[in-house]
Amino acid sequence: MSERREFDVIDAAARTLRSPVVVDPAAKQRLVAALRDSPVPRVGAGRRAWHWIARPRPVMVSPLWTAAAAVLIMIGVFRAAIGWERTGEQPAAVPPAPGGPAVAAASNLHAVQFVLVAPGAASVALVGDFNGWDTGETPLAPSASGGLWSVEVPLAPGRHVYSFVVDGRRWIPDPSAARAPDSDFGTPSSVVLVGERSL
Amino acid sequence: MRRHVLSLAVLAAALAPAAAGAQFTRLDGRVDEGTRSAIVAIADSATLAGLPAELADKLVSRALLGASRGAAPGAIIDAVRSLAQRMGSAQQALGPARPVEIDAAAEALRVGVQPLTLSQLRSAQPRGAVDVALVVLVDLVQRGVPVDTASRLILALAETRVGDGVYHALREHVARDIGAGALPVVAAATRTRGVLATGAATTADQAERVAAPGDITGVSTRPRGGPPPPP
Amino acid sequence: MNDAALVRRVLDGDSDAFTVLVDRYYDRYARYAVHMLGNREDAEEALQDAFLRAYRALPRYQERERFGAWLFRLLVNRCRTSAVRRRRRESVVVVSDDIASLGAVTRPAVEDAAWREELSRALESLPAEQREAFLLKHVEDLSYEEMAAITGVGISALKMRVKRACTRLRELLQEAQSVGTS
Repeated sequence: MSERREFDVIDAAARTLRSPVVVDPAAKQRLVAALRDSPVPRVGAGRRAWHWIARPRPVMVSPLWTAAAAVLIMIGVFRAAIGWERTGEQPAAVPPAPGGPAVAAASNLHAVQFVLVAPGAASVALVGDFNGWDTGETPLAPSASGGLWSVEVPLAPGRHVYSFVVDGRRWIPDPSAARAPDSDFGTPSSVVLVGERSL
Repeated sequence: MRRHVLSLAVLAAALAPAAAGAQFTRLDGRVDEGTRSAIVAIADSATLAGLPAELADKLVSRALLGASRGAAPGAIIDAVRSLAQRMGSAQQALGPARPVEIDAAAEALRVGVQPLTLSQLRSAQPRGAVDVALVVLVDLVQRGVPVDTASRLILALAETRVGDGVYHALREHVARDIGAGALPVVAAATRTRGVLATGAATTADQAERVAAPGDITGVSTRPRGGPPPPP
Repeated sequence: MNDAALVRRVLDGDSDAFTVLVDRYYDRYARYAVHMLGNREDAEEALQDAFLRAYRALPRYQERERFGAWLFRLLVNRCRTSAVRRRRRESVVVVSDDIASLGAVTRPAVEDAAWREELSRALESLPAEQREAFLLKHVEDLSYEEMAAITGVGISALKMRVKRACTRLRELLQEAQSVGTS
């Protein structure tokens, strides 16, 4: 019972703190004015900024931060070592499933090939939870003879939902893949499972 | 100079996992501020309730799909909230589960699969993953197989501990049969019977239970929430 | 227009495109700065520094990281360098919680001026690293991976800080509530 009350206090605190705060509009205007006075950032300005960052100067580092840094570096090295080891163990390519996208593994990401036969299409795009359902993000390339559209996308292991968008407006599921339920937005979509249990 | 090398190494190591956890920044510029706050709040509540943090990314993806389809903010928030609720129910029904299983199970609930079926599936495969079975179950329902029938067929396969390839082949065959004009329920039952009869079945009665014609036609009209099949 | 396109426009010489980014992120990030530093003057100074630093460093910004996340990292670091939180504390003015109430959350029953004052005081009494961890986790809704990327601190250390912050806040806030209701 007291656990529940404790949780509610933190929850209430978080909710209050999440509310927007009042800022002085003049402060934002001062910032915009300061930006106007600053040189327009270009590569040259970047180099100057880099020199500013790279210029040696004394930096105070507490033992706590040094220890945290050491732990982070060790984690990074460990992750890299694990990654290399896994790459070495995995086959270069998983045999493609008879239907749906073909999957090939490399490191932790798996190259997945998406194919759609759409002879009359002017453009085909791939949208899915891996690219934020952005219709401009992943276009498919047509084959030389036309009609067959394909693209390869590196995907993390897991369940991914996707659709094809034909000519920028018609959303269709992958005819050869498993179907996903309606997403509440009336979008027909398909599923690919990526990983050692590819489907 | 050594300090700079250290700082760069710290930065590089610290940035390594950034891609995995940067889910909420994907909403930037795609939904309005109010919708963003609501999605973050829903995801936060779901995580606080015990859902794996990785699944917050799925909630964000659902919001992005709504944005991409031009859905109204209220519809986006409703869809994300109901997905979060289904994920919670799925987790409860499955017990200990990997995020991908909860994800797949939440979608199974979306098409009408009963929570009891999820629990039975987990009991049938206590150590194996159930994500492939669930994806195929949803696919069968989406193709017109009544949800109760599809659930019983997949459960029968799970009880015989068939491999993922069997589920995959079943989906392929059923889709092809339906495309050629077969009734979805008949295609699914016949193909499952085939799998069970040609080696995967451990006992004759498992094959019989799936194959019985009365079962096939009976299940399609049976109301939801009826008693589970006898063990 | 998305952030990446705006950044490209700035780098092509259209400095006004940056003001769109200022409009997009200023108010949202002001919340963190105000709660972290405890007063608006310091927060506005930190925001100004962070935005100017981002503007000047724009040629080195990598598009694989979201602009908003990159900018936020600059701001968090800038707030850290204000190591000594000044004493001119004032209670933070809350506009409304209409936005928060859109989601799954409900209005806290205790939300009034006294509650905000107690909250602000309790937050101020936390060590800076605990306050930072608490705000990033519970107010900015970041995952521990994101927090590690921003702060450079290990995930287990961050979890410990959040836990300690929550414990301390519970003590302070429940004490305040019991005093207020007795």
